[in-house]
Amino acid sequence: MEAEKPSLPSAALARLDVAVAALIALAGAALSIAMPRLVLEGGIREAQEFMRLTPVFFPRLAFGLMAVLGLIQLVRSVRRFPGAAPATGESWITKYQNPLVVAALIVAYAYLIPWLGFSAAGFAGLAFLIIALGGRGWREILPFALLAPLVVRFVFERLLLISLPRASFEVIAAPEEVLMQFLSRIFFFLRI
Amino acid sequence: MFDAFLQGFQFILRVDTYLYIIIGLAAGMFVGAMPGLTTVLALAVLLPVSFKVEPMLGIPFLIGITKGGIFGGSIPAILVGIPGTGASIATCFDGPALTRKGQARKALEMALYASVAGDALSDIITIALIGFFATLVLLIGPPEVFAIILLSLVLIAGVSGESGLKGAIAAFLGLGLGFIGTDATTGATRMTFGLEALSGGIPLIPLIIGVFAVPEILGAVESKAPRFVSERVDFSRVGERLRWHEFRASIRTILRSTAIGTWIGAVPGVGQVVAAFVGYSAAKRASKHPETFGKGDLDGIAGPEAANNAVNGPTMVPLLTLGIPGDNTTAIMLGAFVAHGMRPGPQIFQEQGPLLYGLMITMVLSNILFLAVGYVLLKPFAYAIQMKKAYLIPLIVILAFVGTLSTGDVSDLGIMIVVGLVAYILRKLEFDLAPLVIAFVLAEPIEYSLSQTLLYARGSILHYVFVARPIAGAFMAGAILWIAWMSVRHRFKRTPQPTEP
Repeated sequence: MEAEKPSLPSAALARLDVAVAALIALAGAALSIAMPRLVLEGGIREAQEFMRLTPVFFPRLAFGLMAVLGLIQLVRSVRRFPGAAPATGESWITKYQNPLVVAALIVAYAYLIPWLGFSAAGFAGLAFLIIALGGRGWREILPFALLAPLVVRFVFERLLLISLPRASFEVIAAPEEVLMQFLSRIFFFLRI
Repeated sequence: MFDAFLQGFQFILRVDTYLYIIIGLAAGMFVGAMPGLTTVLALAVLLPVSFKVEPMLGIPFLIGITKGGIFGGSIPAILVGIPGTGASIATCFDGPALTRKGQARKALEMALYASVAGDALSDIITIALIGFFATLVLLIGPPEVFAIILLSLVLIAGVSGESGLKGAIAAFLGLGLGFIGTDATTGATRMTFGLEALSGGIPLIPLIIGVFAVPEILGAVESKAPRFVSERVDFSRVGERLRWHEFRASIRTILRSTAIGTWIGAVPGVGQVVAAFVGYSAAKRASKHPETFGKGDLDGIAGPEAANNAVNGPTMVPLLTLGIPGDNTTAIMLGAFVAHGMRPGPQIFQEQGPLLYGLMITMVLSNILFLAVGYVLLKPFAYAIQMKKAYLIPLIVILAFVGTLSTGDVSDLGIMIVVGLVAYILRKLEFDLAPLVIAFVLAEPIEYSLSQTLLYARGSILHYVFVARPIAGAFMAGAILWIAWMSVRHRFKRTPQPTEP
């Protein structure tokens, strides 16, 4: 558990704190009220009649309490707002540029996987991530981006039997499969 | 129970178990040594590896990661004064001072020996006590289980920042996510919002990787520095080895810190960071030369390092006997046990006693490997802390993807990313996310035990809990008192006054 940090939040974070607290309070209240409609028909009817605790009661109670806590947090966040550190010259986009770029690349990488398969998508994802994080020179980037997904695929798929997605395009999937079989033959003694 | 302990020895003779421990120790040490990356990250992304092999390989692998990770954090703490993990912050008080005096090697070796000694002793204490607790919990019923889970959640949420309020909100968010899917008591389907994919609930692995790995990845790249550690490490100038008389002088400190770490480990939610600080201050108070602390005293390394590693073993007591994870690490461990068809709780020692004892004996024996692996890898990992982020972070991303894809469902990547981005925002707002994951895994047992308690109470719940079941009543009273204390404490706590820039 991390120790409490006494530092003042920046104005942007203080605004975000207020927004998140409001969202939690609203979501808790809405889910608590709408809970009966969020339980589908079905399940074991006899059990539902026998048990004193309906499928609605406990979630409704929990979301209700979450709404109350969200409200208390909202009040605290609003009270703390004037004490927030004034904005510095650096905008939040500049400050969080790297996390935003990496998050966008992670999303793009995830979208590519069903199309290009694990290794080819991994090559593209890794190459762009390395460049985004300041890696320079194709002699360093290319071998790493090419080899890392293949090694990871071989270790996890062939040795630990974790099935990883195959490319939708045969032109990518077939050579990759041949390479994996080749590696499996070389490292046959490692197979579990 | 003693028969189960003896039968446990049959499980410890496998060579491959120790191979997995060595890999786990090395992986844990590597990640732990990287400031900005934590042991929990390594556990989260490598958790699926443990599912694909037998429990006697997979769980010791995770134990190896935990042991190695906590120690790994002390390497940059000593060499460059940057803690690799939160557990090694206290090591920064004396570590860099010893390095400046040309005694870095002594400090690193003291950290290793104290970590191994603290870990091994607390593991032995855990084995000695767990049978007793396992027998004791057989006497309790659903009201006690409900009350203990409630108290644990209150404690875990309470020790997080903001007087526990944000921790409590995170716990309710976790409970809310845990309600999605089929209700275990009545079989009714809840909160699926018309999505068939949610009828089985939110899968644990994408949630764990999303909550623990994604925010760490994004947090690690916030700084535009190309490396986690920019200072140059020169291992040729680390000085002489630790001598026996120097270690012997710290044995008392190690034993004291082990006792502190063992006690703290058994309390849900407190964890290694607190243990390390308490271990350090206890060593300083007991020292004949407290003025040397902070200026390079080997006891200042032994105290926190023995204490933070001693937390490991006892956290398994509430996990295995009650099914209650006390921190992030044990929440992930719970996932591993469940994936292997072993649901920790009062019955597990009856059902799988020999296997559990086998695992715990392995936990003790793995400390010998910990000593050897730690010693051999000190030098390479001292240099590895200077690795470029541009290559390390993408590698962690790809491992997080493999971990999520191990469920066999590509759509789980979406869950991992959404949960991860939300978790990153919550972490920026100083929400502690451990209560979220712990409440998520406890959502089903807490609702089930409450349901049974209400059934037994026959309408008079207060009388039943506080009069007919005094143990449950005591735990409930403890939870209520803790909530009251946290509320009152917050009112009297001085709030920092805003200062002019």
